[in-house]
Amino acid sequence: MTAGTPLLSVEELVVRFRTHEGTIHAVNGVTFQLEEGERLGLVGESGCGKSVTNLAMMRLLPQPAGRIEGGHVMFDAQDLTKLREDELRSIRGRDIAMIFQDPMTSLNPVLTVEEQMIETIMAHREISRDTARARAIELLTMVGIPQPEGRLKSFPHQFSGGMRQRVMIAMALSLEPKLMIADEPTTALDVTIQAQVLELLRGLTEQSGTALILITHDLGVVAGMTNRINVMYAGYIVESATTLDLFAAPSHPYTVGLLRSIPRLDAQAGDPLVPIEGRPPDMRHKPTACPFAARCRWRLDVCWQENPPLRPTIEGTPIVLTGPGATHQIACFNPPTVEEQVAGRPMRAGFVTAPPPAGTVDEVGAGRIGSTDDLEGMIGDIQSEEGPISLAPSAGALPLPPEPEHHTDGFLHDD
Amino acid sequence: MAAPAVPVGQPIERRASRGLWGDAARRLMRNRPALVGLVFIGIFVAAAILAPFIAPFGPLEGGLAQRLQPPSTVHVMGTDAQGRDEYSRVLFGAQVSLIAGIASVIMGVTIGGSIGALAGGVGGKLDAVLMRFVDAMLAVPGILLAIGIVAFLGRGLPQIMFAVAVVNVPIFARILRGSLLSLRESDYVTAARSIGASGPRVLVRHMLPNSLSPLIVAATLALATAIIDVAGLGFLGLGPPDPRTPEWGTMLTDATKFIRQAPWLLFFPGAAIVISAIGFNLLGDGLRESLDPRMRR
Amino acid sequence: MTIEVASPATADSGATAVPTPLLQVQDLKVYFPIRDGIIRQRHIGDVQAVDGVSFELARGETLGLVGESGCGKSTTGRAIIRLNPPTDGRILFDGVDVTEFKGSALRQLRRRMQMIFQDPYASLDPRMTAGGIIAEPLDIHDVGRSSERRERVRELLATVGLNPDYASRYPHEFSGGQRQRIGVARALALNPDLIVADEPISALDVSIQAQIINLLERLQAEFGLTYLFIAHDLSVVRHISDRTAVMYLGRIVEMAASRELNVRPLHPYTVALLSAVPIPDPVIESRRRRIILKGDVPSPINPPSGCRFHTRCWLREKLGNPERCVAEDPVLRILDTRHEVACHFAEVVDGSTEQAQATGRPAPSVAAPAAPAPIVPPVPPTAPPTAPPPA
Repeated sequence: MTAGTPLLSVEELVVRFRTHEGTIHAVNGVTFQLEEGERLGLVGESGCGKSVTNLAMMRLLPQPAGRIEGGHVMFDAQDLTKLREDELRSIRGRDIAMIFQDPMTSLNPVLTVEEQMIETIMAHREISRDTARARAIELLTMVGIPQPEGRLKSFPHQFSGGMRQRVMIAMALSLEPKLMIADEPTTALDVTIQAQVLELLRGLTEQSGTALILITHDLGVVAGMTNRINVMYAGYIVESATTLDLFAAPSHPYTVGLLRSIPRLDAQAGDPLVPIEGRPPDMRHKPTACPFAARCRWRLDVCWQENPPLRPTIEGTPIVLTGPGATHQIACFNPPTVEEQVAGRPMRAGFVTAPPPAGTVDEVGAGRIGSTDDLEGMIGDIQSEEGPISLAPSAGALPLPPEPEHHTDGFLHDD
Repeated sequence: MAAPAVPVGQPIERRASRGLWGDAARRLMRNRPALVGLVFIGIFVAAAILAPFIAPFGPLEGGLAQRLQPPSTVHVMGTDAQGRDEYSRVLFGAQVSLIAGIASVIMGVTIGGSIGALAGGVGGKLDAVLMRFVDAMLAVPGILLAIGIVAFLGRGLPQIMFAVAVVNVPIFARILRGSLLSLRESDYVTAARSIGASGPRVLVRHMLPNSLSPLIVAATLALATAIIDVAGLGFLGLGPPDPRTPEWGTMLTDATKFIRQAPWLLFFPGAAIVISAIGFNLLGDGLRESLDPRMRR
Repeated sequence: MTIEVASPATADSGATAVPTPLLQVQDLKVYFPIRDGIIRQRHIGDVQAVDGVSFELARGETLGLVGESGCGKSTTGRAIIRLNPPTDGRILFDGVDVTEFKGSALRQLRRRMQMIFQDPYASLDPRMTAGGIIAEPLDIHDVGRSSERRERVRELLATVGLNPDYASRYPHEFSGGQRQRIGVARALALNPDLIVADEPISALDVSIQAQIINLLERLQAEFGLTYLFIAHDLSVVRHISDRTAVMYLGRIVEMAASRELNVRPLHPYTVALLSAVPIPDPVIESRRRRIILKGDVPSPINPPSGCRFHTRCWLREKLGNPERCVAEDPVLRILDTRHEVACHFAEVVDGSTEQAQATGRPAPSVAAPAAPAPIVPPVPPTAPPTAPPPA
């Protein structure tokens, strides 16, 4: 691969929050690397640790609760976890720029865009005010803000959401950073505006060779934007692959679940949704077993006891962490087969989802594999309270799940 | 640190529902400043209730022979210009402050809350009229308003309580109206309307219960100011008509005359005022944190 | 439930009385006045949130209402539930004009139409238990004795997939998905005919969204519900709705069977909207070209003249900015069987590369609209015209 060290190397990062409610195990040993100019997607649902990973890298964790309790973040041969605050400040903004979901919170409402942009540029560069101003105009033009000279005098609230995000991108790019971290940059925007902003982000980073980490819950967004993807769950990377590999063969049950639970625009008519039952785990307990086990239809007995490490999908493959040849890795003892990846549920003859050990929540309802009905959620809930056997505290009140396929007919204009 | 043996997967959540108030109380118990506040308030309330039993002397008992004695084993806080035991008077003074404070805050919450509920719940013209009235009250500085009222109604503990209550009326009215207005647009109020709930029902069942916590916080904080206000009126010579009443503010005024000879006379009632006011302030802040819906998760 | 809305009308269905649609919305307008001044409030304009929206909703059908924020889709839904008073137009429920209903008539009407809200955190009163929240519609409408209500609450909780014993818990003890189930149970309590679901899944995590979608589908099948499903996400709407209406700046610009709309969008805005929806497949994504709309949605206080989309329309630009778009307001016209579109040049969209790329399909066979008939090679006169195919 590329000679020398990667631009960014996160090694076994552990982040915990000490709160009144107990310790939150937000990030539990995350390792990944990034080459210059690479675009990496960090995908997962709220609370999976994707944003915390980002904040920890930049040492911007909410204080005093959030703490890096292990690991290193190597950037440009420096360990960001060990730098002094003033050394970090010169890296933030200049070498690593960030944009957030809500640009309004990261722009100062009482200063004009001009003042903020010039201030940012002059804080890191020894240039005159006029040069800085010219640079600001150039940047605003680049991100497609009409009449940039005039708009410089505007306050943040005078821009629409999409325009504000463009201003943020312009400010982030103003110092030609080596790495840009975008945390859900388009979640608050409408789809057509999202398209504008993503297009811009991709074009500009491609042009300048800036590496990008795109943090999002939307697998659709990363599909067209990134080279590689890390899927996170409960503070772990559960699947890591190039974008092409990941979508061609999603190999962790959680990734498969995510892909099968969103309706696709181009779906063939009649594809029913296969939800992931249950809910994300309580992060107050550091998982000792696979964190996804309670919601997983593929789980084996061992999944209730051991936490699978991240390892290559094809055993024995050397591990490459970056570039187009990055190894496809998953943290799973029993990955879905190719047909199962498509179907979203286990299809092997005779396979039974391992029942939960006593005292654990079963979100799937072992033995009911394959049913697409959401009632499983309820059964899981009830089992969680009463134990798996006594399903019927008031059995009369519980309508039994109808045949899985039958009720979907009416919705899916199949020809 | 040995972590408790967590069963694999997700542990069963079997925590009993203690309701929102229960959860808030639990959070309050974890809030150290609020606990300090509670201890201060505990001392203050205990002093007020137990004064007749633990005070070594009566509040009016004493003779000029023992006047202006420094703190000693007999008179822990010394004696005042009339030779009365300062410690006993501070204890009995807590009674006056507690009663005056609580009564005035209850009056204030009742009057102010009603105005706020009418303004925020009914809205429209009534809201505009009531709020202009409240604004006018707010325009007058609180202590000035209280002085004016006492001067007008004459000296007396009930008059003092009423005056302090009136000072707090606009505050409570605004707080309740503000939270009612923000709730009016909230989704669950809309949801209640969408299932056909009538206006009064929405107000009573959904809006008022949810706007109580800011009011509770404000009332707790107002107790602190009420104690200071009562003492302030006493200090300005508008205290209880009987000049012998052990009232902290009046005690302070008396003490100023002997600041050279007996500075402790200034210190003890002053400390009592500060401690009780800080206690209610800390508790109020703690309550704000534990009742804040954003803290809920 | 199978609703035959999309099927071609059979010969007799026109003759026999067509059942009255459950909901008819006719030229609905909702304006929010803008006032100025502190004491004497002058009326200085209107936010034309909804400006002339008409549609029908058959019993048991699901109509999806899509559009971006500020397009008026939620206001339309709220006007139907009568949370916002309609400024103009008519709303017919079960054939009865309910636009002017007030007081007890309105309260009775509300038994039959319910709403599911977007934010499962904000839409449940934090001071009430789940049971209290679900029972409230029963209390308000005085349905049953209290023991019966309790039983009904348990039944409803089970119906939406929650443990009936959770009735005594408070909202903050539930997860987002579970809260939304409580919201659904509340909407079901009075056995309504129509449910307006206002972005019911957009506040939920991806893995939970499918649970709620499947729940809504199952409930519709079980109770014969009619849904007005409001969302910004075309792929979700397409999944759950029989028909989809696309809104832009207070108007419906296109309405068709959901599948038809996704395969063959005819309004330039729908095409742009579809092209902007990311598809989770890098291979398809690399093939698609997005239509990037310029700028932002214009203000609904002062909407553009003529076609409201003309300021951002890629098609108008492509056609050399025809004056007609600025001058003439396009009406919603029926272009094909039940495919309605409000664009003067919708025919140009059909079969265009933009249309094909937006839908994410490989170059479609629709590309030749001029030749609908299969190309039949000239039959040699000698061959018998009805030659049986070789077995």
